[in-house]
Amino acid sequence: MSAIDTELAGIPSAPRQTIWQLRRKRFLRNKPAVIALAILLVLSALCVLAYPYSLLMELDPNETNLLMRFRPPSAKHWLGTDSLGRDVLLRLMYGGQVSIAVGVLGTLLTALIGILIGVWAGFLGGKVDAFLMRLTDVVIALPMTPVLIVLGAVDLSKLGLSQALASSPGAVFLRIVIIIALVDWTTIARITRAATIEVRQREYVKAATVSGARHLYNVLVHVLPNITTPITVAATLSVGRIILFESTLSFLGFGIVPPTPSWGNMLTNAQELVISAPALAVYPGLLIFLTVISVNFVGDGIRIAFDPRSEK
Amino acid sequence: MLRYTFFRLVQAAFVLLVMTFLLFMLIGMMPGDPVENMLEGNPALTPELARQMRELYGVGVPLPVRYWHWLTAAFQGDFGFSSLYFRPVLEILGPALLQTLKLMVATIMLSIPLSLLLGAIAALRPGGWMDTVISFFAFASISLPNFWLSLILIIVFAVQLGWLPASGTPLAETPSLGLQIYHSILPVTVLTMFFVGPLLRYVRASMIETMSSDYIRTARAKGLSETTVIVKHALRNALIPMVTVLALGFGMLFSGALVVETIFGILGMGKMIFDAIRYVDFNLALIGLLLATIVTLVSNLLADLAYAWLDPRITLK
Repeated sequence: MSAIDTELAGIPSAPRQTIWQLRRKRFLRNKPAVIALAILLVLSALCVLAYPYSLLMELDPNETNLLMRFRPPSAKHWLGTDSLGRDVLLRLMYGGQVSIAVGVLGTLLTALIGILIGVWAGFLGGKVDAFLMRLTDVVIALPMTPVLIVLGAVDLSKLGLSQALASSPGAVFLRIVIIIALVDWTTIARITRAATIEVRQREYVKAATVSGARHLYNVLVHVLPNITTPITVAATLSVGRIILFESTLSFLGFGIVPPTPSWGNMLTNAQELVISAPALAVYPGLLIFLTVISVNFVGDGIRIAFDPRSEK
Repeated sequence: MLRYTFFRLVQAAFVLLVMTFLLFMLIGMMPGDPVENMLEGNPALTPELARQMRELYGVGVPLPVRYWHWLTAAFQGDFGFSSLYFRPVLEILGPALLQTLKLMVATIMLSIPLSLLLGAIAALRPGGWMDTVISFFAFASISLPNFWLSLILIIVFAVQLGWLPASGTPLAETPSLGLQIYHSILPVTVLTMFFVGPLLRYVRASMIETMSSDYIRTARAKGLSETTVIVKHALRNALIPMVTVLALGFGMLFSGALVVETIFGILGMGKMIFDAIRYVDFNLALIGLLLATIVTLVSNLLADLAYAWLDPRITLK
């Protein structure tokens, strides 16, 4: 006995770690994810600096100057000017604010709808579940881009909004966030439902139910805190998808409306520029690509860090 | 199986009916009315004619009533007139659908072998350098905005190098097959690049799972060559989930086709829907969207049936 005791005493006990320390460590070990996160931080910082930069260089993102069209990069215009003589770099920075904001807000709304529907279906089961899952199937079966374009074309003034309000930049922005969330919630709903069903069958939920807990109490206290991991992972991955949706819509002319810049609508007329100013067609798309691929790598990193079963 | 198929068909028909209503409402909320748009482009339309046209198109009648008129006519095979092309919508639909199908079939024929090859190679040694490179490629594929990739390919191959045409439609009246393929190279490349990423990720995951199963160990223990084990035993089983992914991808591909057709000027379904919405051609937009939905619904149904047929362990109820 005593031999065993001494042996055990000789082994240093592992330092206590909280789950978050563990997850952070696992994430930091994932090189592509860390690089992607760094790229994202740099890009976001660049976009946030748009206003100070415009003050510093005395530039205006929307002021057109036809005498300054298609200027090559210079000390004042680092990336040159576009077809209306506006500073390309500044517009890219402002455009990034729009794209990232749509990505983040769209994801929050998508997650909200997805969680509500997923928890509702998974917790109640039966007919409600069957109906909601059929609804999900139908939405998944929709051809995304065409449906988004129709939603983007809907005349808000026919819904009772005043003309001025319907065409204000704020309304246009919110409308994109809302229509993307309306078609994109299905992934999160499915994942939430599966996770909810798993938790619902646990003993502690049954015990709570027997002790007279209401559904709402069970959902708030037992279900939601236990399903945050799969939802976080799915939500991170949908940020990239939503940024792509927004840029596609804006590119096609049904999203963010000029003169407000977005990475998508800066490419709307790029097809006419492929001969005269090909560089203008490169920058915005490159930034979309860089942002989306970084978000996807970070999402994958989070998935691996949060899932105790995946070692690689 | 027969009962299940019947049940699913009835369900699909019901979904379609609901979709007609929803889409009709949505399209009714697009700006302007069809006659207004015609007036803009045609000063010869007198107010009297415009009034008659409005009556013909049912402008001013409440939406639900208009929907009922549309539905009853649709059941008799009359889907209305296109205000953009001044022809019955069904006449425009046929050729457009054919164009898109050509594009999609070419893309699928390229994507399947490519994703199988890359996915299988990546799964051979998970975490190895080949896997890292291929996984990066897959991430790039799902992160690339396809309209931008189209622009870049046009700049490089059409403008700078001059090797390939920037337009997806040959100018000749009756183009030869070779010329059609020549003009499709860039659009099909973009769509394949867009489609292959998700497919190959699936193949990789499915292969890794299959490679660790008992029958693969048995096959190896029997002394079969590694090629036989991978191609005959692993790949064939890993293929089954692909059916579902392909079917779901059909809708995705259709979405991608809209962007690619618009940029390359291909007169397919995607561009037709896009133009119909942009120029507020109510009837054409509606039928285009409905057809796109039908295609996705049918492909999902076929996928479920094929799944049960390929994997005898699955029974449909």
